[in-house]
Amino acid sequence: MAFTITCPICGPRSGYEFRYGGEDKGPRPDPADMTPESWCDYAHMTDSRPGVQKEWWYHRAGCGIWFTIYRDTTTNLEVSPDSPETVA
Amino acid sequence: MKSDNRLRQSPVKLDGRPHRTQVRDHWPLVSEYADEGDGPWLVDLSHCHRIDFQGKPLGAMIPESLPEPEAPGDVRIQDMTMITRMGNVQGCLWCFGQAPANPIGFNGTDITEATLALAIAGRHTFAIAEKLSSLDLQSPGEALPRLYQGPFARVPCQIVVLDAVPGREMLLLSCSRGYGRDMVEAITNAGAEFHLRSAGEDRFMGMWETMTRGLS
Repeated sequence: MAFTITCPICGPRSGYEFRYGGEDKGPRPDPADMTPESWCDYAHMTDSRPGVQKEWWYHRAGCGIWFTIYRDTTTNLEVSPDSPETVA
Repeated sequence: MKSDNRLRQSPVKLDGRPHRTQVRDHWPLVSEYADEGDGPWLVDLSHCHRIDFQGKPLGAMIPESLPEPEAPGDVRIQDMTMITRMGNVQGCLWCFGQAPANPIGFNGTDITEATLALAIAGRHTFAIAEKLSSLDLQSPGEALPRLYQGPFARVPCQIVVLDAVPGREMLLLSCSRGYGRDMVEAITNAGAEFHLRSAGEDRFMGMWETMTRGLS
């Protein structure tokens, strides 16, 4: 998995410096409306579709922040947030 | 029970025979080693006080008498103190030489005892560094001094590149105290081909003063 991730603080760095944090699933379900099923979906279910996805990464060997990037899971390359592919 | 005579202990012990030593603020330190050579040098600065501070906005945590690093990676120096900015809400104050431990009552966490601080200085400094880290420490696009955060000898470190003038190259390394022995071993082995030797604090302070004269 030798690819580059762009940290908003440190800039482009080796992917080995980061820890994957999963797909970005948007905001948590509202506690007022939450059901066991909706929480289970949010906590455990992922889309896992091939293509561009928004995902969380943690710069564990660097500045220590969590941030999101877009990555094409079929090419393992980071995609610019401005790219048309990132529009859901 | 009196505790005034208890001493702090650096996480590392460098090779070489100390020529002059002293105790400052309960920290025993080597001012000069016998036969320090012409460089490059490895200097243990673990006794230098370092204070981590966090706040939003970060500038509100910094007294007006000190300069504020405005963006992550920025480093500001004033006399014997240095302020680095790691992120949007976190910075670190370093106090060198005889500078008081907390000169202006900084509201932060003293991390001196918890971390290791080393300096690599003199010619071939970056040749040694590039054997141990893939970070681009000599990027011409970055103004010096500059803070980098990333792996050095595979250890997450804060690295401050202070000077890159040939013969005056100097960088600071800081990481968790527990990595100290392995970090020194890695640097010593990487520097062997360049005749890296241990140097005392006086060597670093001499280069620091030369560098800060160039900044002013």
